[in-house]
Amino acid sequence: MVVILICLPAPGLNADLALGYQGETGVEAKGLVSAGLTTGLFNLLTLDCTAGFSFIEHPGPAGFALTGGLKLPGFLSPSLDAGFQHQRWTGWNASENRLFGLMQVEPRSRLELGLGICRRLPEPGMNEWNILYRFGWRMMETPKFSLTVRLTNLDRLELRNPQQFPVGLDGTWRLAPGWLLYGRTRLAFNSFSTGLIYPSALRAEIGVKYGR
Amino acid sequence: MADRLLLLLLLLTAGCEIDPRAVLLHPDVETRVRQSLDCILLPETFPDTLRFAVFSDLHIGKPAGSHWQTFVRCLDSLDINFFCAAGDLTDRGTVAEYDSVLALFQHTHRHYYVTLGNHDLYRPNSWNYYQTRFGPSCYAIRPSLHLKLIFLDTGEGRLGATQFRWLETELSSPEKYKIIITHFPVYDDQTPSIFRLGSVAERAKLLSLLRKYRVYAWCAGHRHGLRHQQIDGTNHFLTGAISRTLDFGAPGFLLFEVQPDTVTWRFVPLTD
Repeated sequence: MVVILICLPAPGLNADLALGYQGETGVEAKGLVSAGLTTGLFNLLTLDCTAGFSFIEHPGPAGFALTGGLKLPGFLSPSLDAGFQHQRWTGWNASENRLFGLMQVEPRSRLELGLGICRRLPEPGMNEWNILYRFGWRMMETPKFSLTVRLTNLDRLELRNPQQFPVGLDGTWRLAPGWLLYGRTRLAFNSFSTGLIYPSALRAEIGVKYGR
Repeated sequence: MADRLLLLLLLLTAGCEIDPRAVLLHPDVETRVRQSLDCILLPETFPDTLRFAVFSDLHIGKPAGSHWQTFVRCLDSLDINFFCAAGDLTDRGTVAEYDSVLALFQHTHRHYYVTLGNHDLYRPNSWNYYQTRFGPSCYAIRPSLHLKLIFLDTGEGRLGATQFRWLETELSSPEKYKIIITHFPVYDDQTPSIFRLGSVAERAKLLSLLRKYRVYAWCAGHRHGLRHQQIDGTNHFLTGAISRTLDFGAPGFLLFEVQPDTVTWRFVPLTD
């Protein structure tokens, strides 16, 4: 957070700070503060770094992530994201490192589709590959306001298993020049291989973003 | 609205074994676990030295059939005291399939302990069919002084709050060997797959409990075949399927041999 405050005046940098809740019946219920910095180059490259701190359960560092993106102009506006995530649960002495890549296209205006792969390296646990997917549709978009519905198992600090189907809304509200209020919700619906469907993990956050 | 939802489910589940009404109407894991924990189990007495088999995925009702008769012959030839089934006893969770499974099990004249799998919940009344024939889906037994077998209900691919609390209580007891028998594996292989416990956080929490309480083995099914991995001192098994429909490997079961001070295991393949 200190880094973000120092970097705030720098042009080309976006900084954000969010407060959230993450809960899963019988598993965990924690608060989450996250802060991030994003920068871009020529509308082609982006670099995003985020860190999270949890409270209530697992107090302390919840994880960090570094994601680089390459966006190409032209047919379908393809983009490639690659990154690293580290998530930890201090109360259980458990953590997981992840390396991932996600290819995304925009077949229509306001519609994004992505598919990728992730290598999970849990501790304790066994390394494994996971499929990533992303569907996004910007339902509403005005100069002041946007609302996007998403189905994706990849978020900035988190990567869910493919059978969890996290669905939710991302909204933004322009507060003032350079300032954006944003909110995210995700409700994960397990599961595919059981044939039985039920809501499991819930995540909600609200934050502000500043950029020049 | 409800009609449209049911129609959507019908379309999504067309061609599958599941009755779409079961998606909405079956009692969830919390209900099943609470009902299971209300059951009173009478303790059985076993000798100090004993053998028991663990298998999964019998899928009675599946046209491909199973290796059940070969397994029954092994019960005698290997002098197995009791057997445990880690779910998917039936293919579609119908009353006829449950009756068939019960008849098969009773015909062995052995003690048996079971828990359920996702296929065992594929009809709206499947839980009732299971409960009236087999009792609880979540319970623990102590066949010998230093061995505890803990049966978990992961029919939906999750444990739920009540079962998690109960599990930790059961794990905190002093037996040297604790073996968990359930349907879903925590891990199975490194390839992309959906056949594992669904939640990343739930898996992390479980592994921390298995480590903390030095659990000897997690025996699961769901995927049909045998796999064995050791994670943090705990043996993680896909126990091998009795069903003739295999995902990999050979059909078979796990055989545990209990001596006064030790527990050992080996895989017994089933061939006709």
